[in-house]
This record gives sequence, C-alpha cells and structure tokens, in this order.
Amino acid sequence: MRRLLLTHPKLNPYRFSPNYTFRFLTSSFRHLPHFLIIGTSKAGKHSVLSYLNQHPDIKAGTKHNVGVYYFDSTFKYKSLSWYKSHFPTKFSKFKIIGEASGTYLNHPLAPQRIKKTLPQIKLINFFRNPIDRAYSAYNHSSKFGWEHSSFEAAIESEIERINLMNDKPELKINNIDPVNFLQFSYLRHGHYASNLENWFKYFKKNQFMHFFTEDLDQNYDEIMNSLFVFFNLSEIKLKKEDRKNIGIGKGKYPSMNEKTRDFLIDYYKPHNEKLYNLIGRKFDWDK
Amino acid sequence: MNKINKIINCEFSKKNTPYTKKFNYSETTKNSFRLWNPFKNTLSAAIVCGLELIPINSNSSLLCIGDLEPNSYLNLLDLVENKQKIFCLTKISSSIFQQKNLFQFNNLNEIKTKFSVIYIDNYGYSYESIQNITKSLLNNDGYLFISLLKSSKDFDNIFKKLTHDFQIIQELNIESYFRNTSLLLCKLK
Repeated sequence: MRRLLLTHPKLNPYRFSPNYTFRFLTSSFRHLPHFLIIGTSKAGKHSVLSYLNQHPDIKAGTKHNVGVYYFDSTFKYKSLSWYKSHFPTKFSKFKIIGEASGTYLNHPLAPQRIKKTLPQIKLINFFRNPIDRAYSAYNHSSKFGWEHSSFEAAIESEIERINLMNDKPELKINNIDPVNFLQFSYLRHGHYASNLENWFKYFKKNQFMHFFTEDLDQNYDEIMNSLFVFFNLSEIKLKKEDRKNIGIGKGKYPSMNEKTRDFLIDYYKPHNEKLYNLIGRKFDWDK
Repeated sequence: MNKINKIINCEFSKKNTPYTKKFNYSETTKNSFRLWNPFKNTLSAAIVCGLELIPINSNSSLLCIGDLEPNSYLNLLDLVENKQKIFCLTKISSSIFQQKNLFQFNNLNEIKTKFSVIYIDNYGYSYESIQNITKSLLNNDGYLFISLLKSSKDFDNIFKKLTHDFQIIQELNIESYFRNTSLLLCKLK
C-alpha cells in the first residue's frame, strides 16, 4: 500500500516522499562520506560492508543499497544535496561514513568529479580475479535478460567491439553512459591497472588501500582491522559473516568452460602484471 | 577525426537524449541539433542504453526497413550528412520523403543496390526473410541493426540462427524505452 502511494503515477505524479523530503531538507546537517569503495563490481561489496558495519563508529552503505552511484550515473542530474541526503546526520553516533559504488573505478570521469567534491577522501579497492568477475557479471546480465548469447559469444563480441573501436575510431559513440560500463564490459571492467592509473592522476597513493576479494574469507579480521586503522579508529574483534548477494536471487550458476578460462588467463596476463607492478602486490590469478 | 562523436552528442541535454547535427546546418541556423527521441526510435534508444559503435557515417549506404517515426529518417539523413541516399521500405506517408536523398519503396524487389548498413525495425519478419534480405542486399563487410521482441515465441529461434550466420557485435537491452525489446548490432561472419 505504501509503495503504491509512493510510486503510482496518478496518485503521486511527482513521487513525493516524506522521508526523502526530510532527508533532502536536512542535507546541510548531513555527512559527506569519509571513504568510498570504488572497485570493483561483482567483488563482494555487500560482504565488505557487512563487516565494516560491525564497527560501532562506522556507517557504510545507505538505507536501501550499498552505494549511491552519484559520481558516475547521476552526477549530471542530481545535486550534492541529493547525494548528502543518503547519509546520516552530523548528530548521529557514527564517526566514519562511507559508501560502495563498484562502478566508480571504471568510469573515466569519476576520479576528477570526486577530487573536486571530496579531495581528502579515502579510497578502497577490492579486486577479484578478473576472470571470475567477468563470468559473474555475465551471469548477472544473463539472468536479468540483458544478454542472450553464451559467455563465450559475449566475450567474443566485446573483443570485436574493442578491436573495431581501435581500428575505426570514427565509429565510436562518445557515450559515457553508466549502463555502457556496467552491462557490456565484462572484460574491460577487469582491466584494473589501466582504470587505476586514471585515479592515480588525481589522488595520492596513500589515499588508497587495495585488497583482494579472495582473501576476504580467510583474513577478514586482518583486512577489516587494517581498514579501521586506516580510518583512525580502534581495532575490534569481528564476527564471521556469510557471503552476501551470491547469484542475485537466482542461485549459483554453472562453472565456466575450462577452455574459456585458459583463454581468459592469457588475455588478462599482461593486465594483471601491470596491476601487480602498480600496487606492489602479486596475486595468484594467472593459473 | 571523430565525426560521429560530433554528430551524436548524448551529453547535450540534461536528460541524456541523443541529438544529431542537422545536415542543413549553417552559421545562421538557430537550432543546429535535431532531437532523436529514444521513445520513438529503437536506434536512438540503443544509443542511450549504451550502444558503443554506430557504423553510419557520410560514406554509408543505408536501407531502413520498417515504419519509423518520420523525424527519425531526418536523424539518419543527418548521420550520412545528406551525402548518401537512404532507401526506406515503409508504408507511412509523410512529406519527409520529398527530401532528395530519401527514397521510399513498397517492395524489396524494387531495390537493386547493396548497402553497407541495413536497419530492420520491424518485429514481424521471419528469420528466412531476414536472411534473404541480408544475402541479397547487405555488403559482405556490412552491418545489420535489428530490433527483436524478446517476448515473442520466435525470439530464441531467431537469436540462435542469427548467432549462427552473424557475429553479434552488441546486444542492447532497450526495455526502458521499448517494452521487451532488444536491438542487435551484427556483422556477417
């Protein structure tokens, strides 16, 4: 009933919401985030936030979602007050506020927009094996009916598009639409190093912390406490959380074809090598 | 260099609507851009929904099959900068077809030339007719845009056959503008 009243085009044509109006009006009393989890999509943001929220001084994520996606998808249409309306007030008990929008890492304009609005922000990356990340993103698209090709055909199409854009740049549309980055770049989302280089142009390296999603299950305590120290908070003893948001509503998906995995290992080798050099850590992704 | 980038400017308006630069643009023209309404044209919707490449420029010969909203023909004419002829297989009657580079046809048999791009915006075609059209009218290195209704019984069948004969370059989910519709950009294998 509440949803009907809030969203019905005739009953509520301007989508008036008392909650949103209150939050918007009080936005000047609200925090801007102290940290952002900028990467990457399909790499365990929900799980990370559930760990972070165990700390009594931290509020990570918003009421309805893990991130606001302001600096990529809504930056042109929404105001900073709208962005602030998602966060707690300065009178709340929370000292550190953050959100996790995993598509920021890939968006070419996000770093300069964030630099302008939040120059002292702390930035966190969780990198997942790009092969598993790509397969997870494909299954997400496929289950929502956005993609009907097989995984192999989908990555072949993407490689064809990348080649076409390199060979014939006149065909490229200058269309920095977030959907573009979200839905159709299974492979390009995994070019972590080239995406990260763009961020290093705007932010100092000591503003970043990088982790690997694969470590999260084993070393969650160590990872989260290093983050608490990064935020100048006290360390705490954490409870183990179950993995969140697996398969998005439709359960687990079948495992990837071995040949495809071998192909992708070769594809990502140079990109991974670049990342290892960039952040000074090596990971076991090339097997 | 990037002519298309200048023509299609998705960031032109706040609502992320594509515009095409008018082919008859001159310094004295007040409005030099033409709106390409994504609610009225599947190709425009695809641009908003993330189409990465558009193989239509001033060198492209274009065949449009289906009843497009009349203004969309002008948008396509803008893309070819009014330097190429656009052949339109449609039954709509509009004064737009008085443009010298827009040719209206009622029957495919009347068309004897080959095209670099075919744009099929019609849900009623069987795969066999799509195959015949592309075989006889599409250049070997040409591109096919086709919009398909995902809820139709034949969707899976047509999609499977398309992937057999064509390399799908991008599948666009344009549900935000056209219910249950996908637009495919394909290239002959």
